[in-house]
Amino acid sequence: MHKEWFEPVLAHQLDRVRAPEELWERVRSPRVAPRVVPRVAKRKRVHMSVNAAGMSACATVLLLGIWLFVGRTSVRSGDAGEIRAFVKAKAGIDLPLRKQSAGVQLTGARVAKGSVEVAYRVGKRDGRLLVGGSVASGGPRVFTWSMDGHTYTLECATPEDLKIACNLCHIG
Amino acid sequence: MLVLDANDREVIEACQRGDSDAFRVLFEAHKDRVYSIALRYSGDPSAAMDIAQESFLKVLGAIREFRAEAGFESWLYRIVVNTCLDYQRRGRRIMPCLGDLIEAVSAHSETVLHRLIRTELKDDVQRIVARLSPEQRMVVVLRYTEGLSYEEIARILGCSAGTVASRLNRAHKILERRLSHLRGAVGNA
Repeated sequence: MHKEWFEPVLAHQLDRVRAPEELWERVRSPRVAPRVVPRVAKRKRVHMSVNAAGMSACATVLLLGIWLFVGRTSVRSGDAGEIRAFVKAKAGIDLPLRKQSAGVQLTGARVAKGSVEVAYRVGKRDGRLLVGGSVASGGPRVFTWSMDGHTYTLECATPEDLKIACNLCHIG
Repeated sequence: MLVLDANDREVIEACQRGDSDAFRVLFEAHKDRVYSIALRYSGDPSAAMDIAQESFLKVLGAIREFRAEAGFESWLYRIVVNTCLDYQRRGRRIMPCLGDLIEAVSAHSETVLHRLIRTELKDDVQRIVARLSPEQRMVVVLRYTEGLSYEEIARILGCSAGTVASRLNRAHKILERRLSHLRGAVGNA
């Protein structure tokens, strides 16, 4: 194969470019977040389509959870399924919280007018995942993004906690 | 080229202590590299910004875990590569779709495609590269955008140099076929 002629073309056409100036702004204050998609939710859908019995059991648990949570505006729990069901029932938002999140522990959730607050702890430090409502000021301890018409905000005690808090919904 | 010098080490150590000015220095030193890989891989400036942003946020979040004995650039490359591949897995690709569209158009009107190729050589090469499989595309980007050796690419991707050579060889065959219509124009460009 005579690849000599197109190798210089590739090297020239694929050469390095300058990063746009606004990249630093996006890294420094990630108000416009990278498009984060809940991968776990997708995997669950596949699993549940395979296992109909499991799906109906999950639905039963979900309905039971919804029934139990009617009338309450907050829940104290470390169980992702319970919090997910509570938020779904009270605010109609399905948060793809993972059952086991490395380094981060759920502690509860609260639903107020037009907003949801999920509380968690990283080590001994408290943090919040807000959906809707007023957004805290930016900075290295706050991460905001939009998804499915909702504004999500992760608030952490330290910038390092941000990455760990991502484990609430994502595999780290 | 993947070895830290004393200044890099100081900057990284400062980053590990939480020095935001040091992170800015690190960002400035590597932003073009990160953005270029993201752009050449995704073929889309908007996607490249997302990938580059996410890569640097991962660097910021994981810098304390970085060990000086490991090459920083290799570590950074792995983060960018994984972010690119994650982005791909989420189904957020644009250019391959465009490429397919052009391919469909070309079946009916070869002259339209050729006119496009002549006027937008760079975009076209980017499009053709974007239609390679993710593994082949990443090898091509690391080879031609970053000028890395087979061994360096292998270290970053966690595979053997033979695998890199094999992927690159397959990519070359595809690219040679798809770029063959440019052969005459290259000399004039």
